[in-house]
Amino acid sequence: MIAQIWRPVLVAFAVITLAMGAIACDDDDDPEVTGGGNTPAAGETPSGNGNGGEGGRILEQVRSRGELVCGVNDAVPGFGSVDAQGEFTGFDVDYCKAVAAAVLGDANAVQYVPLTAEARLTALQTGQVDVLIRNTTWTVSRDAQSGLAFTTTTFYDGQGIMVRTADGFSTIDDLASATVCVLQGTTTELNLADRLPTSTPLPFEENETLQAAFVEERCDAWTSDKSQLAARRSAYPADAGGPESLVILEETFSKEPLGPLTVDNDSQWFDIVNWTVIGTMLAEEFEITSETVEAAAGAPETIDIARLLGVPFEGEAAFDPGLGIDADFMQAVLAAVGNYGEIYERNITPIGIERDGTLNAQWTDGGLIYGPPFR
Amino acid sequence: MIAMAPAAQQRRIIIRRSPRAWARENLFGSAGNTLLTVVSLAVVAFMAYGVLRFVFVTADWSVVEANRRLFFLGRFPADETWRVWIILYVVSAIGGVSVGAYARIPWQAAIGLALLMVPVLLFIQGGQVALLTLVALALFAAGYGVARLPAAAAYVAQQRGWLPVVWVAAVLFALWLLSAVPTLVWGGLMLSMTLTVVGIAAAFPLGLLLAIGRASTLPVVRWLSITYIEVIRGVPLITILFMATYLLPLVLRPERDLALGIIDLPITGYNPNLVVRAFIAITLFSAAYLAETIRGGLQAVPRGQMEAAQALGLGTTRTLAFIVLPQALRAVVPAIVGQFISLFKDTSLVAIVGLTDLLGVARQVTAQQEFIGRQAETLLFVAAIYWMVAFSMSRASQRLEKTLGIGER
Amino acid sequence: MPLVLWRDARVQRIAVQALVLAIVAIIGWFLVDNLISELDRTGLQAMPFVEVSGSFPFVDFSEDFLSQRAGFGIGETSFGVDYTPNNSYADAFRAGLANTFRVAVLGIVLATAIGLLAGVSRLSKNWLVSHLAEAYVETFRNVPLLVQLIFWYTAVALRLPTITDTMDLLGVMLVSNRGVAVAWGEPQDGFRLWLLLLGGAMVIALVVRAALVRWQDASGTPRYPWWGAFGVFAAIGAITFFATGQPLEFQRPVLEGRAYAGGAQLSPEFVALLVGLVLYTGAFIAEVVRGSILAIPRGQDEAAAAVGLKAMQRLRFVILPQALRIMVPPLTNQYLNLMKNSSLAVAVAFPDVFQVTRVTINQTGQAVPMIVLVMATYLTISLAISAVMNLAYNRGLRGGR
Repeated sequence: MIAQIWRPVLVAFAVITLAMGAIACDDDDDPEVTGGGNTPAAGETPSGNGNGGEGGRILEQVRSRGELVCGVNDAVPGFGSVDAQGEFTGFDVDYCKAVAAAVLGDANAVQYVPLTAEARLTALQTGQVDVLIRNTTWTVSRDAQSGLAFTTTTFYDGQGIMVRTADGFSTIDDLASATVCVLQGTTTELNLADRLPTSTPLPFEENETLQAAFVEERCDAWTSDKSQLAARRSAYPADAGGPESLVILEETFSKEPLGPLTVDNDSQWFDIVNWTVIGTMLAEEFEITSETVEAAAGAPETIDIARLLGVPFEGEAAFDPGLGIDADFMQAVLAAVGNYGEIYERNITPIGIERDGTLNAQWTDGGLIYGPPFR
Repeated sequence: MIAMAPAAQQRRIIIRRSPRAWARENLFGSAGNTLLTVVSLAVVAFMAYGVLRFVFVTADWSVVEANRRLFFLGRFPADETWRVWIILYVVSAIGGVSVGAYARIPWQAAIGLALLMVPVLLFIQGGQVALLTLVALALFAAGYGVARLPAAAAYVAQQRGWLPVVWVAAVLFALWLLSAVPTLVWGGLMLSMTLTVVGIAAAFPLGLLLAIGRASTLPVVRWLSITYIEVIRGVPLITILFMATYLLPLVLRPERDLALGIIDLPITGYNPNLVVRAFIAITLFSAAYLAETIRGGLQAVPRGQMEAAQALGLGTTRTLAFIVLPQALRAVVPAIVGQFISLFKDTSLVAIVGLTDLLGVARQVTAQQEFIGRQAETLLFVAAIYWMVAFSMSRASQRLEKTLGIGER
Repeated sequence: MPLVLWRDARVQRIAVQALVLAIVAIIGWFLVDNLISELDRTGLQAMPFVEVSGSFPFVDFSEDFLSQRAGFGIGETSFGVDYTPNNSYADAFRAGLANTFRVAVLGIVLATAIGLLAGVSRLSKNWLVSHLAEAYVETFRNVPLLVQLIFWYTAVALRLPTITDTMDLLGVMLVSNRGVAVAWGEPQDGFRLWLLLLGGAMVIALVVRAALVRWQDASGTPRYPWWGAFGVFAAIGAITFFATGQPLEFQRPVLEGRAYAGGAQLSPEFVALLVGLVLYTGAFIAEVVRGSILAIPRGQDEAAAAVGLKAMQRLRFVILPQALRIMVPPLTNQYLNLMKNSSLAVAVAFPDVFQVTRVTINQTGQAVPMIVLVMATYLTISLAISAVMNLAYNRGLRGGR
C-alpha cells in the first residue's frame, strides 16, 4: 500500500535526475549558451587568469562556434529592431553581419543578443557577447575604467531636444522649468541635468512608453540623440499632428560618437572589428559597392582597391594585412552588406536623417567618415 | 507576489423559478437592493461600451495581425516550429486524459471553452495553422473521451497516481525537443510557458529539500533553510532577476582553478546566457515559495501518523518517505497549480531585463516603425492571452481541489 | 553508551550539520572568490563599498561612492525630501525610498478598502453585485501586474486632458495628464504645536473611550464609546485649531503656466502605479476576505439573525470580527506583495527606490553593492511589516475571544 502511493513519485524522481543530467550535458554542447566559457583548445593550458591577456582568444571561439554573438538593440528603429518575421535589421545590425562575414565568410552566422542599456557593458565584459554594437557612446570613463575598447565611430550623434511647434519654445534655455522626457540609464540623462539643471526630468525605461508620454503632452520636450529624435519625428503618427507638428531645436549639447566595442585585452579581435568598420568606409571612398565588388576584385583599378580586397595587383602578390583572418575578407563583407554609404542608405535614410552636410558624410564631402590607409 | 486564494466553494441549492421571481429575489428585493442593481447596471453598461467601442471601432489590430508569429514564438526559427507543435499535441493529449481522470467537464465550462476558441480561430485566420490548432483540440477531446469511456474510467481513476510521472516525462521530452534550438531565440508565449514550467519543475526538488530542512530538528539545517526561504520571499522578484543578470556571469566564472590550498581543481565554469540566467533566477525564486507550499502540506499531516510510524519502528527517513511525504504532496497539488499561475504571470518581469517573452514581444513590436504608438492594442492582446491561460488554469485547479477532497477530511 | 561512535544519534546529528555547513560554506566561498577575481579581471573592480583585501571582502564605508555627486534628476519626491542632481547617490537612494514608502502605505490602505468592499460584495444576495465583484476579481487577478501597470499609465493616465485643457472639479481638484492637484491644507506657524496638541487630544479621547466602555459594561445600555471618543477628539482639535491661530491654510490648486501651484499634487506616474497596485492587490484581498467570511460557521450568522440583528450589524459585530482573525496571516502576505510589487514602478517612470538603484548602477557601474543594498532594504521592510502584523495578531486578535 505504502509502496503503491510512493512508487510514481520515486519513478518521477529517478527520471528527473537522469534527464537533468542529460540536459545539462546537452547544454554544454550548445554553442550559443557558453559564450566565453568554452573549454580551451587542446594543448592550451587554462591560465589562472581566465580570458587573460593573450590575444586571439575570441577569434578562436567565434571560429569554433561557427557563429558570432553580437550584442544589439532591439527597439531603436534604424539602428536595431526586429521585424515581423523576427529578423533583426538596422545600421548596427548590419555591422554585426559585416564582422561575421569578415571572420566566418557568412553574414548570417550571427547570434543576436538584444541587451538593455544597463546590461550591455556587463554582457561584453563577462564574455556573453563577442562584440557590442548597440549605439553606445564613446566616453573616456567607459574606455578607461571598464576594460572595454571602442573601435572607429560608425555614427556621429549628438544630444538635442525636440518640442512641439505649437508650444513656441525656440531655444533650449526656454525650457528651464519644463518637464523633459528622457531615457533612463544613459549619458543623455546626465547631460540633461548638466544643461538644464532646473527642469523636471521624467526618466523612462523604454522609448515606447516615452513616446506615448510625449504624444499625450505629458512632457514639454523630449531629449535624446538627434538621430533618434529625427527617427521618431519622421514616424510621428499623423493623428498626433505628423512630423510638421514637431521641431528639433538647433542646439546640440553633447557629443555622442557611437560605434562597436570589444573587450580590452584581445587586441587581435579588436583589430578585426575595427578594420572591418574602416574597410566599409574605405570601400565607399573607392566607390566599391556590393554590386561592383566582384568585378573590382577581378580587375582592381588601383593598388589601394587591390589591397582592400586582398587581391594581386599588376604582378604584385595579394596584400595580407595580418589580422589573422583571410586576406580577402573585405570581399565577403562588401558582398554581404555593402560599403558605408550603402549601409547608411539602407537603414538611416528611411528613418528620415539626411547624410549630406552632417558629420557622417565622407571626409571628401566635409564629414568625419575617414578611413586610415589600408596598407 | 505569489498568493493563493482559498477556493472555498459556495454550495447552492438550485430551485427552478420563473425569471420574474428570480429577478425579484436576486435583484430587486428591497429598495437598497434595487439601488445597488441600478448602479451596478450603469457601471457594467459604461465599461462594456468603452471596451467594445475600443475593440471594434477605435482599435487598429494590424500590429497584432502582422506579428502573430512573434507573439507566440518570438524569434524561434520557422523550420523548427514542428517541435513546438509536437509538444502542444503531447500536452493536449495528456491534458485531456488528466482532466478526464479527475473530473467531468460541466457543459457550461465546455461551452465556455468552445467560445474562447472562437476568437483564437478567428485570430489565426490562416488555413494551415488553424488546422494544426484544431488537431490539438481534437487530441484534447480524444484524451478526455478515452479517460471517461465507461470501459476505461475505473482503470484510469485507479491509475491516476501515475499522471504526475507522465507529466514530468512530458516536460523532459519537451525540453529535450526544444534544446536543439538555441535558448536565445526562444521567445513569446512559448518562452513565458517554458520559464514557468521549468520554474516549477526544476524548483520542486530544491523546494522539497528546503521544506524538509525547515521542519528538521537539526538547528543548522533549519536555520539555513529558513534564511534562504525568508530572504527570497522578502525581496521582489525583479531584484532577483537583476542579481542574476549582473552577478551570475561573475560568480560562475567561466574558467578558473579552484585552489583549496591542498588540491587544485581546474574547473571549467558555466557562462549562462541571458535566457538561461532568467531560468536560474526564476527557479531560485520559485523554490522558496514551493518550500512554503510543501511545508503547508507537511503540517497538514496529522501527528498521529508520525507517531504511529515511529511506533512501528520506522526511522526518521522512512517515516518521511513512506508516511508523511505521500500525504503532504497529495495535499499540495492544487496549491502548486496556483503557484504555477502566479509564476506564469510573474515571468512577465523578464521583459524588464531585456528578454522577449510575451510582454517583451509587445515592447519589441511597438518599436517597429509602422506600429509606433500602438501600445493599447498590443497590451490588450497580451493581457487577453495571459488572462485566458491563468483563468482556465485557476478554474481547473478549483475543480481538482474539489475532486481530491482537500480540506474535507 | 554505544561502543560505535558513528551510530550514536548525537554524533550523527552533529556530523550531518557539520557536513551541510561545510558544503554551504564551500559553495559560498567559491562564489564570492569568483566574484572578486572576476571583478578584478573585468575592470569592474572600482567598488570601494566592498574593499578587496587578499581574497576576503570587508565592507568599508569610509570612502564609498554613495557620497559622490549623483548628477541625475529625480522627477518627484515624497515627505518633503529635498533632492537635486547635486546631492549624493545616498540622498538619491533615500529620496527613492521615501517614494516607495508613500506608494506602499497609501496602497495598503486603499487596497484593504477595495478588497473588503469587493470581498463582501461577492457574497451579496444581489446577483448583479456579486457577479460584478466576481468579474472584477477574476479579471484583475489573472493578468500580470506589469501589464496592468503599463496599461494604466499609457492607456489611462496619459490620456487624461492635457495641461492646457485641465479639468477643474469644483475648484478643489484639477486633473490633467500632468497630474492631479487637490485642495490641501498648507502648514503655517504653530502647526507643530497644534500637531502636539492633537496628540494630547488623542490620548484624552482614548481615556474617554475606556471610561465609556466601563460605564457601558456596568450599566448594560449602549454608551457608544467610539462616537464619544471621536466627539471629544474633534472638539479639542477644533478648539486648539483656532487657539493656535489657524495653523493650516486651506489652499485651492491653481494653474500657473504649465504647472500647478498650491494644494497636494500627485503625478500621473504615481497615480498609475497606485491604481494598478491597489486594483491588483484588492482582487487578492477580496478573495482573502471572502474565504475568511465563508470559513465562519453558518450558525453564527443565523444566531445573530435570530437575536434580531440587521444585516449590516451582523457583518459589523459578528462576522467581520471573527473573520479578521482568520484573515490576518494571508492579509499580511498581500501587504508584503504590494510593497514588493511597488518595485515595478520602473515600468511607469515613477522614481521609487528600485528605479533610483537602477540609475545608480548605470551611472556608476557599482552593480554589486547597489543590488545588495536594495535587496537588504526590501528585506528589512518586509520583516518590519511581518513583525508589525504579527504583533497586532498576537496582541489584539488571537487572544480576543
